[in-house]
Amino acid sequence: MDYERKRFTVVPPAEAPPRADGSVAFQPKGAGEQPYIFSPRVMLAVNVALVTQRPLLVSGEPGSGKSSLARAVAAVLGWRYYQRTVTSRTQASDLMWTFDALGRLSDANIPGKQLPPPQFYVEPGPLWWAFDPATAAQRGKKLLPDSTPATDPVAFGVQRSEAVVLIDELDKADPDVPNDLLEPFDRKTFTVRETGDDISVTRDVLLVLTTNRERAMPRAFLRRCVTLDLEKPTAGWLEDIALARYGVGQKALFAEVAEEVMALRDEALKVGIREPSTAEYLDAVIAARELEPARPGLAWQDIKRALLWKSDARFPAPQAIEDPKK
Amino acid sequence: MSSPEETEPGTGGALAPISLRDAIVAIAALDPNPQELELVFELLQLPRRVSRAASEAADSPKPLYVPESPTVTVTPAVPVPAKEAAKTDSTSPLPASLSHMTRVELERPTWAPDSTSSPLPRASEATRAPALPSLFAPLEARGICTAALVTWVEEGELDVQRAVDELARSCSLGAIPRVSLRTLRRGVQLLLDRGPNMEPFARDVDAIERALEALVGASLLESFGFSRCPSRGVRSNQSAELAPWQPPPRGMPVLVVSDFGVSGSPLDDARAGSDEWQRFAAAVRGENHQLIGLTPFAPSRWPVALNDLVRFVHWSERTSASAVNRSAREGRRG
Repeated sequence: MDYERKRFTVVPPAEAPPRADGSVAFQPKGAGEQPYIFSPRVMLAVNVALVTQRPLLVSGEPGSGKSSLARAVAAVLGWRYYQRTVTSRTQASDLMWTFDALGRLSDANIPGKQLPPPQFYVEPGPLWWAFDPATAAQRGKKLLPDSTPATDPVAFGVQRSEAVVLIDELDKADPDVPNDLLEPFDRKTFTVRETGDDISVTRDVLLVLTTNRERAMPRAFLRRCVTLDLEKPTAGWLEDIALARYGVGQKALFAEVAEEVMALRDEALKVGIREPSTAEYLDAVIAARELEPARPGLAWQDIKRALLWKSDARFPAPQAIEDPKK
Repeated sequence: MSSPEETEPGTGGALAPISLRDAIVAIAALDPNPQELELVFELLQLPRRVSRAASEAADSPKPLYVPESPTVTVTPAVPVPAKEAAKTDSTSPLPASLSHMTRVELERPTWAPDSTSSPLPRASEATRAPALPSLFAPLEARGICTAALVTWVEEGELDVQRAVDELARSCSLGAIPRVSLRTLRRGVQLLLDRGPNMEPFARDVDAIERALEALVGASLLESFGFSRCPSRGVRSNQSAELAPWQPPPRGMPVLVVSDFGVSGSPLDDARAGSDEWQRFAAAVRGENHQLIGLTPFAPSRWPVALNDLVRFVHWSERTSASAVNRSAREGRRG
């Protein structure tokens, strides 16, 4: 790919050159942010979503880094970052705004109180903040004299105007919700029902949606997204993530736990339970590292069952797998 | 809210489906190498006809034998003595008399196609079972299932009409009236008839189970099999044991896929009769669950006695999502 023309490029740090497969570790500068390893496939998907201005729908097994991808992309680009996790009760409009009808009704019942205009009761959602932070802050297009500004929920990147929005676990929503989002995703505009304000995008916005594939997305919705299915982890991939997060000091431990995770993934596949993921591998690495002084008194099998083999008694963790620290 | 049907929402300016234009935009902007080009098409879910054509041509299997002319010319058979054959073909496990066949001269008739000139089918193509046509029209299936299983929750925006009505009558509002929203979050208990009368539809029953799992999610699907009537016991997919039917969690609708006793021989003593189905349906409704019946048999054959207890959906390609929606709305009002 012509690197001059790419919209999204991860510059590898000097101490961690790109891997043989072209993956690049991103080391964030901000405290509290986590490193992320971008494979060439993921980088290309982000670029395609940016240039085609389509939502990027990311699927993959739980714990594979779907949600952290959006955050890492925002950190690489230096864009504002917003996120909302979808629940079974989420409606499409909740991602744009919510309206405190109860508060308004309550105010209307206070004798002698001058009822504020409906705009007063509007709370902007992540899409509104991403599209147009100025109108979001004042809850509408007009500036109300006595209105408290809405609080910008931006996680980071306030110095830039462009934004990345993560709408996490979209498959948890009712089937109508994805289709209801198509119009605001396309036109990058929506109308606040209670006030009639038309809110339009004023900057570049990358929408990242994730799905655990618990439910199939409507076909009409899929046809409008750039779809990225994150690959399953390999032992080398897991080690690289641990190295990027915790440094090279305990490389042997990272490799041993990675091998254990891969063996457990095979076992889990055979008995039909969920395979331990990247997130669980990192938990196991932390446990093995942090609990080191207490190790003689701890049963590694118990840690493993708690962190890597999350199943009930019907599927006991395989005993044959050796303690990685032996 | 959009229509529940699997339709293309909003043609007037709404996000158009991904097309070749998106690929052109991406290629022009990113200048991908050949491997990346393949991936661009994959990410955009576009058929990679152009880029794949060359590689497929290279990969396509060669014909096993290509004759030089339409006439198959072979030398007349020369009988090989058994001893000599055994000497020259020591690897053959068969006697020479069987492993050396007499060759004859063949000439392909002009009307017969030259079967040797076309490649054999790929193994995957040759062994793949033909796809089973859906009993619902494919584009309607998701919408029909949604319409059949949807329940309602009062969680929408403020229902101004109801609020105004109450306040105008100087009544205090006991609860905030909200607009009802459709939801599938209550999941579904699926009861699948695996009995002899539904045997012709066994693969369709499997397919509807998969489709519903994709629609509501595995965690919200309780699936059981039964024979003839669920009141005789049900089996979960994980257990071979027959257990009494148990009502699902509160609010979860029950979908029964069955013939409801209308098919099979009238002389079949084991057939579930209308009375038995009526008792089961009453038990389900008694627990305040919606009961939906999905059956491939024509409406004229549906048991009249169940009309008030079961909301039937005809499992047919003529069924539309809007019709099921309409019947659900009428059932709700009723």
